Amino acid sequence: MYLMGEILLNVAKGLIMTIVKTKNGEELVIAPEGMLDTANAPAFDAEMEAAVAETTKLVLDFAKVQYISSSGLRVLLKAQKKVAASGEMKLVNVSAAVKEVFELTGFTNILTIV
Amino acid sequence: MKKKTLLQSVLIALVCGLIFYILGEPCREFFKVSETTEVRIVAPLPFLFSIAFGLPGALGCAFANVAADASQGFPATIFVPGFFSQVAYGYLPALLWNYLRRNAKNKFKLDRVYKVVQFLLIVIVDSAFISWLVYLNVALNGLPVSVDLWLNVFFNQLITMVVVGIPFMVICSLRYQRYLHKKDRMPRTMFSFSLNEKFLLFFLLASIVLGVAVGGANYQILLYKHHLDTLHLWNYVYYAVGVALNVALWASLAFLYYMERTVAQPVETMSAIAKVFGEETEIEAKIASIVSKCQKYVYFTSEIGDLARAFKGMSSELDTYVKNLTNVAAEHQKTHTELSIATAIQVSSLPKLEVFKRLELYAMMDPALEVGGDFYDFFKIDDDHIALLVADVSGKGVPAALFMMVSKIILRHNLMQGFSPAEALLRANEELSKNNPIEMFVSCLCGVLDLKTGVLKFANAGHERPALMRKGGEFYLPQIKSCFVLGGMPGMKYQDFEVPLAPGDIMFTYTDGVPEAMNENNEEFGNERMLAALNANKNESMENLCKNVREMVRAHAGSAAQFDDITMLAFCYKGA
Repeated sequence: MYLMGEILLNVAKGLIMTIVKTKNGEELVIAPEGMLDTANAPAFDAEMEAAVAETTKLVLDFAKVQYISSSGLRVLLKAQKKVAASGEMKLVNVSAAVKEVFELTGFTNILTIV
Repeated sequence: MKKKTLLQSVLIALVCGLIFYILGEPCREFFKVSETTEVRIVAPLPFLFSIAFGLPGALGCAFANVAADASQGFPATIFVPGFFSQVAYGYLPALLWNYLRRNAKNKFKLDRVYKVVQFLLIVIVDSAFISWLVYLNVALNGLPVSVDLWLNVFFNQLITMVVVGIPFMVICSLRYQRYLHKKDRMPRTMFSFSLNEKFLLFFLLASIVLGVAVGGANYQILLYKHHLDTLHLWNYVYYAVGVALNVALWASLAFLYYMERTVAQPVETMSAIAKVFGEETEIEAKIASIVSKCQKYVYFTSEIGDLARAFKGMSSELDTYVKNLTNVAAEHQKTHTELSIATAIQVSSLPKLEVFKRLELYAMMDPALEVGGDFYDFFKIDDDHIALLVADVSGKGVPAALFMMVSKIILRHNLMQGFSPAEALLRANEELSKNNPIEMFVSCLCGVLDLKTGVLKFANAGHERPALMRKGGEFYLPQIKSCFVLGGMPGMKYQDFEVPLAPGDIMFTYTDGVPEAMNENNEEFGNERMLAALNANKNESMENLCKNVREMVRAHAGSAAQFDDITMLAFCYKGA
């Protein structure tokens, strides 16, 4: 029963966005999945706010992010500004499409993309 | 009721008289009580026929009575006064009843306790009246009179008026109702008795059955146990029936009056609320009428009180809800009005298209909502230099529009002062990122064209790459470096690029609303389709070039809603 509940919950979340969170020693890895657009940005924002408060070493795994809109960029900008004071935030596994957006908007200038 | 013709009146009188005679004759033969009286079940007919048909009903009965009396050999001194008393006791109470029912739709309807009480009082007074008339008539003719005679007539009259009269009224009421339904073309319903009426009729008919049963039983007992003469036998029967009837009727009426006030009337009133709801057009009037109807009953401690309180509570809630809804609608209207004003302000803040020397230019902005975050701008810095701008604020709607207005003013100000595009962007970025708590930002492509030399100096703050077409060639997206968007973070650096334009070269700038326009299947319009649309019209005017791209985007989107603002600015250098 419990397992089924868990699955259902994940399915329900999938309709919005799945954000996987893993703690790796000092590092906190956040891996959003899907489209980082206007609809999903608030959920991503909430997750990032919590993460920034929790750790100083933040890793964003963008392997499963296919698209990012200006709303998604806003969340990254906010997190980057908060982290800049005391810690670090890096983006890994950024897809070509998302990387192009970062380049187009000049976000490559402020983000640490590995 | 229509006015009757004389012929109709005569016919009615004839029929009423015939009925009176035919029903009355057997009584004279079989129920003879004394020389002058008998058990007369026809006694209430003059009254009832008068209610139903007016004077002709009473006259018909009176003539029939004269005929009957004359045929029995009574002298004219008996039947002539009898005729007048017959008319008087039949017609006068009927007049009174019709007067009391003057506002009723159906005057036969006994649906309220007070109507039944009125009916009974009329019957009692009328019975006493006819008893005196008969008594006097007999006495004046020198025939023997007694108290028993008076009582016999009184009870005969009283009992028959109730036992025959009430069923008569019910039948007439039903007939008349059916006539009304037919007239108003309403659906025919067999039993259209109200709740209160059903209560009343049940008790009335039960009382009548009880009275008749008591009378029947008494008749049998008196007949076999005591050897009484007919007058006294019938008088005793009448006493028994009269007492039984009166006790049953008045007790019933007292109980029914209580029921009517506490149950039947409230339920009928509240059940009529649905009807009222249909009649009133204003929702406030509807609710007010429900509340006022229920108000009378909310103090009842019975279930009726609960019902009334619930009804009233619901109506009050509905009222609040309606008022809120009205307010919300008004608020919505206000917002809508303000937004349309904002649209007008934003549209007017964009520069009007004008004809420049050595430059053909066209620009358009199509917001997804009432107001947008996109903008374009162009203006002469001096005689030889013209500034060209396309920008896109993150987000949409009012917040984006406010940020757009500020950005536009700052950028224009910087460029007018003669700063290079990169310097203008840098200064704008510092200004915009100073007080920007919600992390909004704006991407901007900013250029200054030297009209004499054709050199375009431009800088890019995180904006889409412009499409360039060299005269005779095809549109393509040159690889240029993007600097950071404006307003995101202070201290960012911006870089100037120089592109020498030859006469006939075209530059097409746009916002992401063009390549990212989606169709129903979530497929983007894309850069390829955009370039194809441009190349298909590369020899057209700047206006047609932009309009064609807009048309292609619209065709691609199909039924999908426009999600982002769509802005384009295209210009062609015409040479010195």
